[in-house]
Amino acid sequence: MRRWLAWMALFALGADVFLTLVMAPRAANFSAPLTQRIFYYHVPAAWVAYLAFGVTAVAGLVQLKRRDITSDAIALASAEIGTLFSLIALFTGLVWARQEFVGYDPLRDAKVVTLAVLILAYLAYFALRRAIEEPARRRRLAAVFGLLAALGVPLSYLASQASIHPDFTRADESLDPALARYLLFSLGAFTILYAALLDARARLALLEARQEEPWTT
Amino acid sequence: MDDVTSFVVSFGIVALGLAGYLARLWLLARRLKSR
Repeated sequence: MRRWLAWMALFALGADVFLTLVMAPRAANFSAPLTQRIFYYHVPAAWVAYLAFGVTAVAGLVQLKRRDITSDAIALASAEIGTLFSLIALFTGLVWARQEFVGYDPLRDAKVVTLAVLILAYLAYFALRRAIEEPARRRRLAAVFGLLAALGVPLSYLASQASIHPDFTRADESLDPALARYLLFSLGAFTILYAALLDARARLALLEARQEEPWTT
Repeated sequence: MDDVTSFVVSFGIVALGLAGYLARLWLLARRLKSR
């Protein structure tokens, strides 16, 4: 891991915790005001998950064109981080919704179902990678699968429109500007954290690929 | 669950998720470097 990037991520995350838990004002109109603060972590986690799956798809395209080990390492690293942040977004969202909505049934919530399907698609991506022994074939098939799995990202994002999930793009649900600036900071901090984790994981994936095939580039 | 408990659970999910992934990276690095 690049040391400066790791320090930047640590500093950004520390500042983020302080700003969102200590400085951010209490949000109005929530039955669980303390749990509401998970919003500053839930939304950035979902953003990082979508970004990471997008990067996996782009790296897959590069892989299909160049057949190199670097794009495959980036695709694998980003898929792993995307899955982690999807799980964080899913479970923090479930805890918040259970607290906020009376009689909440996650199995009838399109946002939960589409995100769970997206996570399952990437678990299948990892299973596929493990199942193929020949490295070049594994890289190609994983690239195609990564491209197809990314189709679930817009589906998951747009599911807000058919769900009880808040949607701040709707005119009647605009976000309080006093909270929005803390959310923006959190989105930035999580993006830096993503970059640091991607850098660390992709380097390890490259090392693994070079040990498996010392002659490849 | 009251507000405080669900606050602790939700932050626990974030903290454990990140800590668990960092531990995975550390273990993977150790395994690869010892090869």
